[in-house]
Amino acid sequence: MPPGPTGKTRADGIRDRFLRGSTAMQELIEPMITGKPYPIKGLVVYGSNLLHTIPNPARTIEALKKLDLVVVIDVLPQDHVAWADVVLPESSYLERDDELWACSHKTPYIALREKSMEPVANTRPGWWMARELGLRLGLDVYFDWPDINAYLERRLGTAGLSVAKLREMGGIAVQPGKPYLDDYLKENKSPFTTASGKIELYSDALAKSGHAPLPNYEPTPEPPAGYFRLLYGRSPVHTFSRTQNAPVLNELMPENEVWLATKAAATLGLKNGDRVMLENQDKARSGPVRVKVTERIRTDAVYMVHGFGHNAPGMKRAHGRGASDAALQTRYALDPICGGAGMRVNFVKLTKVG
Amino acid sequence: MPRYAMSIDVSRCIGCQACMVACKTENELPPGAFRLRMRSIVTGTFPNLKGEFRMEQCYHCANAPCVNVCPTGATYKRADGIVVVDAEKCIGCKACVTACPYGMRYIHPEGYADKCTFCEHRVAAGRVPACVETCPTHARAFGDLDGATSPVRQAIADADSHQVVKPETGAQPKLFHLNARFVNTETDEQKPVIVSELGKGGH
Repeated sequence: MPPGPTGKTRADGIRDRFLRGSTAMQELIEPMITGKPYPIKGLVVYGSNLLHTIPNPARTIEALKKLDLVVVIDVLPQDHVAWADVVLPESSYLERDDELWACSHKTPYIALREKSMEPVANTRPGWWMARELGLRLGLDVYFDWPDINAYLERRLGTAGLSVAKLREMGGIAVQPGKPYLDDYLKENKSPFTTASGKIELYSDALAKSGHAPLPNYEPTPEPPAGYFRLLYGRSPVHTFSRTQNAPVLNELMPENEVWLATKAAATLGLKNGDRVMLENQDKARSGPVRVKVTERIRTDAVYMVHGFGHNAPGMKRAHGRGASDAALQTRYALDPICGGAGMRVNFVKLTKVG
Repeated sequence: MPRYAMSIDVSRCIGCQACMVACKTENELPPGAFRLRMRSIVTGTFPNLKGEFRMEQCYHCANAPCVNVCPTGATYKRADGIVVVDAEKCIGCKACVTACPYGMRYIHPEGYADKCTFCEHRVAAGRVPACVETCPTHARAFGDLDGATSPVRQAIADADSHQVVKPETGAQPKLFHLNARFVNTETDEQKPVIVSELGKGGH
């Protein structure tokens, strides 16, 4: 990726370490603490629960303390909000007009996102915050539209549409898609953006940028004796780490459980419903959390639903319920090509409490 | 006069519990109260496992034991088959809660027996119950069992199997579980787990 306007490398490595278009939010933590490749003074966090989404939250807190300014924007307050200098509450999607939703998959479409009510509290949409900050920073040239409606009219105008026309179409303009190879072949084109125009199992582009053109298998470490690989995933009731405090959803699922194979439970003398503390290979701890004895998992791993173990006292329903997988992910495997974090490389042991 | 019924295609149910949330929100149920229940059934040993989710709610039985035992007539079956509770007449004696062989009633914090009403207020406005409308996999169908084009009749006809839970109760439920593997065949070994309770929320 070419250097930006300042000529500087990006602290998260997107320009020089990883392929363009990747995101590697966790790679910002070390730069925030060490000041290398350059000191980071401020952070604006938009809709990301830093203490549950980035591995090793203890390190994230160290990083936040080093910053001169932390601004947090969110619809629902999360744990990281307690560490902010400035909180800008955003209106929920029901309360804000917003950017178009443009989807380019099999059936491409452009959809309108309109509010159904005025904000019930003193909140603003994210676009309004961005514009107001931009104007105060002398970035007027990027915000030469007075409000979201003017912005949308200009953007839709380029496609021969308008807000009124899109509304008449039920709020969604479906485009003809090109889901089949024939759709391209008949135009003498290829849908594949590779140099060869073919699907490449052996990638010259990766070889040229110094990466392995074919993936090499590297065996991953096995859990040490007495430890289990920590797996995490989702429940249909909750969305990431952001809904655990919501009233109805909290009633349906107020806490997560650690799934343990029947045979492993028997070896450890644990029963369904027992409470345990989890401790990982680096002595990071989370819990107490209920044990769920089940056949639905292999004997060398345990599993939890992500997003519990909130410890912000203001999250009255979710506070202290369940365990945090993020708190137990003090290590991660870094993909050298795109900077993604593989977090299922942590191992935990279970100790009964109570 | 319609004969209302509901069906749930168990093979489509993913246990997302959106129906439980839609019902609670639509009917403004208080904290702790749900009118639906989810049962999770898992059988086998790792890695050979089978399972399904069974959603349960009042079955609006044609021969409802709850109606038969109510001392005040607060609970009754309408001509269209929907079994309702008149909260004003209910004295909260719990006879109906005990009489229901399926455990589909609970006592509302305000003192009256409460349960699924097939969203009769929505039906009156020509709409389907909230659970039916919200289901993301279209597992639920509702309508007039005698209606030639009714969705519930179509769903039952299209299914490989349709069952009511424990037909031996004689209550004649009007909610049919379609394409289920474990209705009326579940064993201790399968350890059916009630994931969420009527009348009390949480795990």
